[in-house]
Amino acid sequence: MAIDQPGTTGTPDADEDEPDDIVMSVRDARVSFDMARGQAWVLNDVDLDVRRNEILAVVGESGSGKSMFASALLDAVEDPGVLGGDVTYYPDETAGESQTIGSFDDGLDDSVDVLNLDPDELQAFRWEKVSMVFQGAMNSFNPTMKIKDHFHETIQAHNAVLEERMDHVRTLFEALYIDFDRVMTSYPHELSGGIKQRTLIALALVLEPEVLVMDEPTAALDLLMQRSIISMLRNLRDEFDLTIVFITHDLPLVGGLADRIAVMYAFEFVEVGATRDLMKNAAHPYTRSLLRSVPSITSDVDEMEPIEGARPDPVNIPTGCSFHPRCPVSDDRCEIEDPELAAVEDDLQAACFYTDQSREKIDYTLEEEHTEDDR
Amino acid sequence: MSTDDATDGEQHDDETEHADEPLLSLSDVEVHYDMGTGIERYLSDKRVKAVDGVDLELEENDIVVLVGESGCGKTTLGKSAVGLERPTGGSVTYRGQDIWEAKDHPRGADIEFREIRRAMQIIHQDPANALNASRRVRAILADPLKKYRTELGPQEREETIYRYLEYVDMTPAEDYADRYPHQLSGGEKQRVTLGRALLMNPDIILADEAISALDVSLRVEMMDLILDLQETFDTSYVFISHDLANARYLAKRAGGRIAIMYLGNIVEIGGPDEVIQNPSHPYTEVLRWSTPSMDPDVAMERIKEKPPVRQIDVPDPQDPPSGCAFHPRCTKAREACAAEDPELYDAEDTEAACFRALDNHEYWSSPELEDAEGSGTAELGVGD
Repeated sequence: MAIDQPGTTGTPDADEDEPDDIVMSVRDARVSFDMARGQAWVLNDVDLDVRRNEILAVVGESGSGKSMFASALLDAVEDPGVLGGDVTYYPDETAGESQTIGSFDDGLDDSVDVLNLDPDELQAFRWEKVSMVFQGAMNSFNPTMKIKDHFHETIQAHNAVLEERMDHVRTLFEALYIDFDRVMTSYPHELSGGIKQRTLIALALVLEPEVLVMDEPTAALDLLMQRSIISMLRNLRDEFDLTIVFITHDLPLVGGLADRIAVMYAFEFVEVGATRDLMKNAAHPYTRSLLRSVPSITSDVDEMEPIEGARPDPVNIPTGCSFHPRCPVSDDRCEIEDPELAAVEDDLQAACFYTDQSREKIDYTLEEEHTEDDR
Repeated sequence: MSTDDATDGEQHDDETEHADEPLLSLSDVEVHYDMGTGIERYLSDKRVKAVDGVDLELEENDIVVLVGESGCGKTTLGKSAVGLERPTGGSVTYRGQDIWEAKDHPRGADIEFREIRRAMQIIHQDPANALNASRRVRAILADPLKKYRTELGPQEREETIYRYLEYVDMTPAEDYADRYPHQLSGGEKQRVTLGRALLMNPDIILADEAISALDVSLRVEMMDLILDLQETFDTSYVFISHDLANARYLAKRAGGRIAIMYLGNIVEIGGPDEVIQNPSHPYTEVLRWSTPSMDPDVAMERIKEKPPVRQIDVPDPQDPPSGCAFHPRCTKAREACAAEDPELYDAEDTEAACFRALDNHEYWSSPELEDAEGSGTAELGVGD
């Protein structure tokens, strides 16, 4: 398993002083589908590090490749799709003994090459090290099984100790405000969407994975439930030392949640940075245009503007920078050359040649005037 | 011009244009569903009150955005408003004509039901399912013309189709007319459904979450298109949305109103700034709190706050709470709220269905409400 050292590639100017302990790193990940019209690239040589214990939001519009990225983290790209590149998982060395919950044995390796695991190893890896909550997954409970049986099935499939795990579930349920006794003896249809979704999050965490990947986990839920789950996720992260990768199309939703945001456009990351820096003064023209196109309850309605043009076709991605046909600051260079992610500031990278012009030309405001008369 | 509560139960029989009648008037509309299947339906008296006594008026060139969470009855109310769902109580009148009366007793009707049907159109949430996948755009748009505009010959029909495609910014129209729905993007599909609705020259369009299936960056564009066309065609809209930010955008740009719904009732209604900046109903405050702020500093503070409710889960609509339906979740609820169901009262800037809007209501002397039993209320300590 010859693997690059974490933190040394792809992120040229990453701040080395920070305790940037990396839990997963993705290098040159690409997914392609053969289509009648040609080969479609739905993930295009992306590099990204996931830092231990962070909440990383991957934000993109539909068809930007964000779900593919999520699937790539678990080598779970569905069949006609072909995944290439490297996905590496670095176990927490400080965790020591507590590592032996299920059947996955990371042995003495200090890193795991996820794309080269054999099927049994992969199966164990997926729940015990990196776990995923899929989009609309609250409908994935078996309607003929009680909630309890779903938990038992998962625990037993991983040869874990049932009682010890169920005790853990109790603490998870507490953190998620779920009534343990009532929900465990219920059938899925007896539960509301919000409770089902929270139960599913608990199920994903039953084997104490280090990383939780969530694909639009709140999309089908009501606003208040969305907000409540977002708050709970922050607490879960702190309480259970989790790393969370949160995939969403909803940039405002993650503003208060994520430590870092990675913005995808046309199957690539175009901007990655600390949430506050990225939201307050984004560098990439796409991110800025996106922030200008999303109304909030305080935004000036006359300032809102949609992003001109249509999103690119995966079979026929524009040459050079894939955003150039829609970009207000692009020029000839952008048509030919594809910009790489490069540092703009300490904790902000953007894939754009003209970040200064972008900031100058594309205006947006986020500030809320404080007319706080809440309760 | 206030044409308040529809007490004028009888239609005026004047032959003229009903100029004094509102375009659309809903009076005490109820939609109750029997629960269960087969015999169970008759034996049990369980009913879900999807819409429970709503009054609403719509003027010419008006926009009302119905906002609420899933299951609050906003779609059912919207469908009743445009005659797609028959209310189990109350009345819906179009220019003074009760629309179900027109259907049941066509002879006595001033306005034919068919004409009412034409005047009220709907745009569905998911454009992909609203268009027949095996027919070209041209054929999809020709259907309503063949049915309602029989005076048009094939040539004129063709021209009309192109003209409407251009209205919804789909140019070159000839090219788009030949496409199948799968050859269109989500936004383009939604424009076809908008164009199809407009072909009928309707007075009212119900847009049921018409933009929620679109990419976030395209929503503003679609809303702008709808607003532009509203001016061109003088159409009134009933917009349904679960998103307060989009509701505000539409209502503000169009000078319309926002109506907040909760468990079958409109709990607050008013102008967008008034409803959002100075709400009088605690539920509106909850919605506003739940809408994420774009400002990361504000958002990071907010996420540590407790939600301003006693419990996050919505009560079972089959077994709604007594009195004010919101009281078990309301942080301001007192015992009076459990006893009596509030109506819409004139509040500070809006109309709100909350006793707190009345200065001399017994609410103010009523004792605080005990925590509801076993509802997991106090444990809502979200935050750190």
